[in-house]
Amino acid sequence: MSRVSDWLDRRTGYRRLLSWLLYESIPGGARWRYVWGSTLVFTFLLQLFTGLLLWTAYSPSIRSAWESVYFIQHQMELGWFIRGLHHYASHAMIVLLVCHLLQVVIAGAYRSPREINWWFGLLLMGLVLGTSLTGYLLPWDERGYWATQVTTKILGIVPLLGPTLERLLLGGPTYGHHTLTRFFALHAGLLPALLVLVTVLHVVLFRRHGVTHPEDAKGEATFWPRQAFLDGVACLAVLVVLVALTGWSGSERGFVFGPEGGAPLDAPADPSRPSPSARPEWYLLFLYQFLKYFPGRSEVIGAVVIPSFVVGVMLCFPFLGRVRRGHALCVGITFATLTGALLLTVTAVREDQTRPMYQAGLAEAQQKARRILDLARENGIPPDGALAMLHRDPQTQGPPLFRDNCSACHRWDGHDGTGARVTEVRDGESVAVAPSASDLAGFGTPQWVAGFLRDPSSERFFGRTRHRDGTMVQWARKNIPLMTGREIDAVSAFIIHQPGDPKSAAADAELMALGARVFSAGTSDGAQSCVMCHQLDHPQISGSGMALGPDLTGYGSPEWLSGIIRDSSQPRFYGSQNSGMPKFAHRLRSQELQLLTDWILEESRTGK
Amino acid sequence: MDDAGDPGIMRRREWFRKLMGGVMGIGLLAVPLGAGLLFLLNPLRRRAEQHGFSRVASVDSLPLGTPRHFMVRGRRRDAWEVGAQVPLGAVYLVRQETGIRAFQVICPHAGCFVGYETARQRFLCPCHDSSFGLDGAISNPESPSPRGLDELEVKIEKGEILVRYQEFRPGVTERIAIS
Repeated sequence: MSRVSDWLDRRTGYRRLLSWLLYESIPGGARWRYVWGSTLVFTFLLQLFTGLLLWTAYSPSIRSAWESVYFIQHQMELGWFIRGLHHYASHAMIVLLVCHLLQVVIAGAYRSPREINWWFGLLLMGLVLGTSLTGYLLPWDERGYWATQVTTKILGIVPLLGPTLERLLLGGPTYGHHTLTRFFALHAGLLPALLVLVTVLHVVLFRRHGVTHPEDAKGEATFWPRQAFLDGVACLAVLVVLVALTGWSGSERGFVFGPEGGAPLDAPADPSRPSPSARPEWYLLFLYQFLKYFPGRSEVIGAVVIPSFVVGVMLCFPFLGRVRRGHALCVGITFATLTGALLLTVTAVREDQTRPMYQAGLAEAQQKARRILDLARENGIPPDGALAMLHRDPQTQGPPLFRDNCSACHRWDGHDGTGARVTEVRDGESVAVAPSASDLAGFGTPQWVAGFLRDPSSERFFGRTRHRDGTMVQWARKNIPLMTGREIDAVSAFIIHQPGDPKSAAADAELMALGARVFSAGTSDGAQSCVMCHQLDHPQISGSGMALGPDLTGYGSPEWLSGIIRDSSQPRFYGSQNSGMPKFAHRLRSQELQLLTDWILEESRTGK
Repeated sequence: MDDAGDPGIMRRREWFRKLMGGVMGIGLLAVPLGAGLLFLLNPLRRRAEQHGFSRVASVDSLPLGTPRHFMVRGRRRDAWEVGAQVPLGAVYLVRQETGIRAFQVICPHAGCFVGYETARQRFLCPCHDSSFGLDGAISNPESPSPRGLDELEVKIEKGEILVRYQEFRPGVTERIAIS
């Protein structure tokens, strides 16, 4: 063993390097307060390692970034763990940086002859923040996309060069493929390279001047073994905390060591949908909150001028520190800045906690994230990407389509389809708007039809339309009292479970036969039949009446529903009796119409 | 410290220090390295996909005696992406009096796309000059290919030619399917 190391040493001189590294003199001996630098180096090395691993599986383009991160998180062995470590280590870097900064400021280590190293330190801090910011966008999920928009917009308002710099950073006027390739090149290439370089310079300069020890320090020790041991313990503690954070999934779910835990991943970024819950990472919330106090054109003051001024003051610490009470001033400024940032952060969090829009947005974002996971796991992701898949999903697209196109008149279980009340502003106050057409929750089910038959003039059905005193309501008043509950259920089931309905095969044959009899011939107690007014092409129905009401052939099927949405004034539906429902044939694209009808029927069937 | 000189205590202290150092070192290195190794070995655990029969061409479009290559489309899972009708590769179809045969276009030697020389009626690999007859067998003993062209399963349905697409490991004598 020693012969091998002798051989190696004669050729490389590694022992001298090792002894230079290990036998650094520490006046006053090893201390816990000296561990911050080492923990930062360790965390940074962990970032380089986990980052390199993620690099082997990440694909930077707007149709593959989210998809590849999904694959890392949910399909690759320990992908969630590697990604979680990388994510939380970036948070740990910020916390450790602040600890390191405080230690340096309190010890006065920014003063002569360590000025240059102080500046290197501030530069490293900027590089770390830059790396975090560029990394936040890479998963191309909702929060990363919208939060980074804010950051790059801020760059754009910098006087003179701002718009040019923004365009160069984005790789074009707006976000696109080249935004990701550029952010990735910065995040995984340029910034880490600079970080390595400046860290080496920082450490070499630090070794040149040694630790800034207390003036009354007694005795002397070397880095090895005791300080190395303390540093090791601190690094291990950092690792344990990171592993714990990776598993921690909030107080409700506790520790989840698996793909459901780890770093969060929202639904893929969608520029066409609002995302009111998107926020920057917690360590930038103070800047985000700060911006709220600078309206309009003064934004540049809050976003650029004041932060630059604070950084400028910190750059001047070495000179400030020289004057009388200068050190106290520098410590004071540092603590004041950190306290201010802390207060702003707390304010930001508390404002969000009481803001309905944020809470609703958060719930919606979580629901969407779960939905896309279900879809991706079930079918894989199609070549046109996860967002396109989400755009083809009725469960995701139905509620906003219903809200935007139907909720002016109809309701869904009392709300606008997305769960919100329908309101309008009158005299400056928000008041609930009453519907003017039926509530469609449950449409296409026998229960809905039975409810309608029992009381068509109810507000849930025709109560607010021109049909509230129409033929159907009059028929129900006269005939429903003559029918048994089973007869009503039977005719309802018969209308819904027509041939072609997915559940018609499973329907109770006896009930269906009774329904057919009631529909075509009325009941033995004298209730009139449906065929007097409604047509229905069905093998068990013969003869037809006057076609006063809508043709019920295929009633409740996607085809029937999309037909009535397209144009309810067709003779097949309400004809001249149409209650004022507009024609949607040209308002909705055929894909949107299909999504809407699929959602209405599916949501009704599953009873949500 | 008055016990500093006791060699027994010194030894034990040294031993304890080494143990702690070892435990820390293992913890700091093993967790990221172990997880990283498992992550990197993921491709070894991904199973190759078995393709079903894909429609490739109609019998009428295939001239007698002259091989032609056709694209094969089918369902393919590539990491996160699942395509229903994506190009999987290509096959040579050879129609003879006896029937239709399909050959993988990938040379079994080093994986190049084999060409067809009409004049000499043989398949010729443009990379290392392996040549194969119309039956897929090696036609020139100097061919570096370790085996003849890989034949694929074919069936005819209603005048359409269907092929079950497969790829095989190049460079070995046996046919070992890799997809």
